[in-house]
Amino acid sequence: MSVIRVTDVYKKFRVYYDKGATLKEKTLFKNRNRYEDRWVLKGISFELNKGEAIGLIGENGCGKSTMLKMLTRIMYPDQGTIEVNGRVSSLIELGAGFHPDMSGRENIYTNAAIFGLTKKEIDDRMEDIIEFSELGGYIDNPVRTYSSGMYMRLAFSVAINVDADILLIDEILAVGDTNFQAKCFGRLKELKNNGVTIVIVTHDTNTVSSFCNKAIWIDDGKVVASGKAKTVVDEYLRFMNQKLYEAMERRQREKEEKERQEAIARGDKTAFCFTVNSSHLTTYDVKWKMGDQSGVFELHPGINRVQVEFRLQPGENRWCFETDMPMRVLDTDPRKLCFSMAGYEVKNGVFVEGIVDLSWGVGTYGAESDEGGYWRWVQDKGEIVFEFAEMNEETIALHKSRKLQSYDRSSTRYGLRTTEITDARFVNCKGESVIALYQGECVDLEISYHVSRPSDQGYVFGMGFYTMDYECIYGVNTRLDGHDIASVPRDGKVTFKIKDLPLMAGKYILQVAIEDGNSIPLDYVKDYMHFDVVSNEKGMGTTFIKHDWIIE
Amino acid sequence: MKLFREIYEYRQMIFGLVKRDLRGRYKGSVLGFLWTFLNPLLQLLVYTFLFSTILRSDIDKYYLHLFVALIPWMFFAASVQGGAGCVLNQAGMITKIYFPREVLPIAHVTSQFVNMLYTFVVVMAVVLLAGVFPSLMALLQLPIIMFIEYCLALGLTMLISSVTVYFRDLEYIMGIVTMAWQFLCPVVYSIDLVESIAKSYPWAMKIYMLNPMTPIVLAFRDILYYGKPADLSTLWLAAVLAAICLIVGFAVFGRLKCRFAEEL
Repeated sequence: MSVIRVTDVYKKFRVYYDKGATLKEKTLFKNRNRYEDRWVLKGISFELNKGEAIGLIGENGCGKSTMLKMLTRIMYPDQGTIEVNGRVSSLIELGAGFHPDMSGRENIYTNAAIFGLTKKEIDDRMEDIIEFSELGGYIDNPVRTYSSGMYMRLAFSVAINVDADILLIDEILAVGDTNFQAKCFGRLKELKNNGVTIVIVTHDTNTVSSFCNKAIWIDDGKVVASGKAKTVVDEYLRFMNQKLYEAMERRQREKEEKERQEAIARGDKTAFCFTVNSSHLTTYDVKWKMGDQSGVFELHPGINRVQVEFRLQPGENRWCFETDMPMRVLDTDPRKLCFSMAGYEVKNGVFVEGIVDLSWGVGTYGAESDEGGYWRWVQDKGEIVFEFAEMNEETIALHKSRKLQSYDRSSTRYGLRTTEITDARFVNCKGESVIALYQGECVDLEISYHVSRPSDQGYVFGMGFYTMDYECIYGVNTRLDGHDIASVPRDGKVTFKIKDLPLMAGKYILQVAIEDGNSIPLDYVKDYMHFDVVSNEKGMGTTFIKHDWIIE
Repeated sequence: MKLFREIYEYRQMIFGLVKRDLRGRYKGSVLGFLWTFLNPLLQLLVYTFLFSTILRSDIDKYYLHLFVALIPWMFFAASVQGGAGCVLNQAGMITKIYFPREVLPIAHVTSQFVNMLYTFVVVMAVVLLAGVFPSLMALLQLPIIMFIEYCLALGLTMLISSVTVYFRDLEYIMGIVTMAWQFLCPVVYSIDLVESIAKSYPWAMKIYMLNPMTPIVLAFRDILYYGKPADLSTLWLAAVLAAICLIVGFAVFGRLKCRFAEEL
């Protein structure tokens, strides 16, 4: 026998653009009363039998609370019918109608009367209600002296003790302390077993899958799925994760696009200028930043002023390089742009080595050739070569001494940089570059590198996943896995293939590194990027362990 | 019919609301419930003083003449004027829980009515002290007249309270309307005054008597001031008007109540 039968229910709300409720406004500003109809429910049908518990789930604003309000008969559908057979008690708003100046006992009378109980029925239940509320001697004090927890306990006790045939609950299971909550749940289960039909609206999917036997997933005013609670909840969670994933991806894309647009907007005179004004340091690290790209120029003492300008022309994907060091265009072939720099001002020293670190290229001056000293900069397929005109013995000596310079392990990126990581990215099964990953799906970590000076000690590529608290979840490298890499191409890519990602939902840090065979770091990036993982699994912790339960 | 059965099922809620209203009214004051009796008594003292020393009236025992009409009028005025907001002010309950919405105006008018009954303890005492001894027949009429007035007040309150939800100005408009209405009824003056003025215009008198509160006020005065049974011929009209008011009130309320939760 169906206790609740909802047949093809439609409900619209009037959304006023600017509502005027007074006579003056109604007559003088006719257009202020314009409104549009918003359909919040578009044809909902379901049926509930005696003793069933059903969970209505869905995103915020999907219409589930409206559905509940119509079951309560606070609102009425515009189309369709709702049949409810039996006494309804709603735990939608607890304590409605409480009078602060009256005692708890008196309020029980008024509150229970709101549920349609007669005085005799209330008298019969009085002891149960007081006992369930655990208010004890406070019951005869005015309600205004109650703490919020006491207030809610009293209200809940009344609502749950009215002996309803149908109980409607909206997101109110956060009543009182955990013990009282457990007690409420126990009571709800008891009622369910006694044949009370229960409808719950909640975002807590655990409650739905553990407590309800049926669930209905409403999205945009329509029933997307209904049936066994567990199945519907899983389906819903999958959908929500997909949505989260897409939102994260979209945010990332938007962020990238925005930065690009900003770079273009700044483009016609986007400049980074730096003035070197300290002469007592041995090496300057001149950091520059543009968009999310940044890098370091390393200058040695004596250069007073270097000014470089980057420009990104609208519609172009090409960086222009301008400097007050005069440059000479050597080759105008778009695939191979060569500039030369000459006549830059040098006092008491030389501009020996520079490193520009862009996501698409690495350039070093002086590292490539001891004699010539040119700066090579590779961008995708095209090549930009900077040639420095002046080079002398002093330059070369300095350059050589630099090779022996130590590295600072405390910084998030360190290493000799003779081989550098130019890019590290996640690529999903479909070959798309992503920053949000799915637990249980295959994903490739691609590490691109550029060798500016080959190592004679071989190469070791490594990766690591860390929690945001910087605790290692997993880290490994090619040597540990038994790969001996003696030599690599100038530009290449190392792929770390993951068959099914075991990380649970959360935010993680990616570490990537290149070392030489003697464990000397060539390029070690402790915090390369943060990435998100979404998961349909409900277990705890950071890693998923494949498992089955056997209950005997 | 289903509606009335449901309202009956919710009778405890009506009792509860009435009790809450009556008890809450003087809650926190030192004299508390005593004010229910003290209030009309003090009013009477003021009127007696005013009309016996300053505004001398040629009506005999003017204070009683006024008092027996004023108390029923105040019940009516408080019902209708305060009743405008009786649904609006319970927005919290309307949007959150279900109950037959008719409970609210019924509880409001009933609470005012019960308050009037308490006041009548004072009224009866004053009437007897003033030396008026109404006949048994007249006293038996009293509950009937009160019932007619109750129905009239309830019907109007139903109508006004439901319309106020959609048109909130009505609450303030009713303030002025009830004030004007009071002077359209023979409360502060005697009906003889109206008759003498309207002598040459019999139709004006007819219109004046169409006001359902006029025969009600007159009936109260007949019984409690003159001590004689009321003039039933005019009271019939009041009863019919009250019934119409009640039917219209329930009908309009029933139509408008569906969208209360959305409008509040």
